[in-house]
Amino acid sequence: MKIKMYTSPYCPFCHRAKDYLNKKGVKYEEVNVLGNLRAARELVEKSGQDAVPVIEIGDKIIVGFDPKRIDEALKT
Amino acid sequence: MNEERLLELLKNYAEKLGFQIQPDVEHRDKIIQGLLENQRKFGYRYCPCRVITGDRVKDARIICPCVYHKEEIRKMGHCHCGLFLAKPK
Repeated sequence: MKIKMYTSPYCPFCHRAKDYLNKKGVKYEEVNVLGNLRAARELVEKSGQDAVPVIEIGDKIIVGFDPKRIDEALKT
Repeated sequence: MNEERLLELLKNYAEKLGFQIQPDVEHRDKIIQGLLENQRKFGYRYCPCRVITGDRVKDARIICPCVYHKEEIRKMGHCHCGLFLAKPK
């Protein structure tokens, strides 16, 4: 399953989300949106939000660091 | 503006509005560093947990304290980035 995480370097919840997936041994692609307008637009289009972290797990979009929702999305 | 001065300003703001600043120092300091880095790079203290679009009008909404923070604190007990929290009852 394809997993993509949109982050920003000084976002504490982005670091927590990365730590969470790293500890689970889940591989993902990280996209830093800071100063990357193309990635920023992509994130807003996908999530409808202008906030990070956004985690795309398959066809699920999770805005913010929500371990419960991450676990649910990883199961499906 | 340095980290200590910005923290003082943010604490004063939080106090005036009846909020509190994030007590987790690592979390708090990361945001403050991000705010100062954004100020250096982009000229404004944009929230480090929001997306800078390059549209000055849109981006004005995410200058800390952002336009969303009061509503988020009311709903979730903290703003999106976690810098401001509701005071415990």
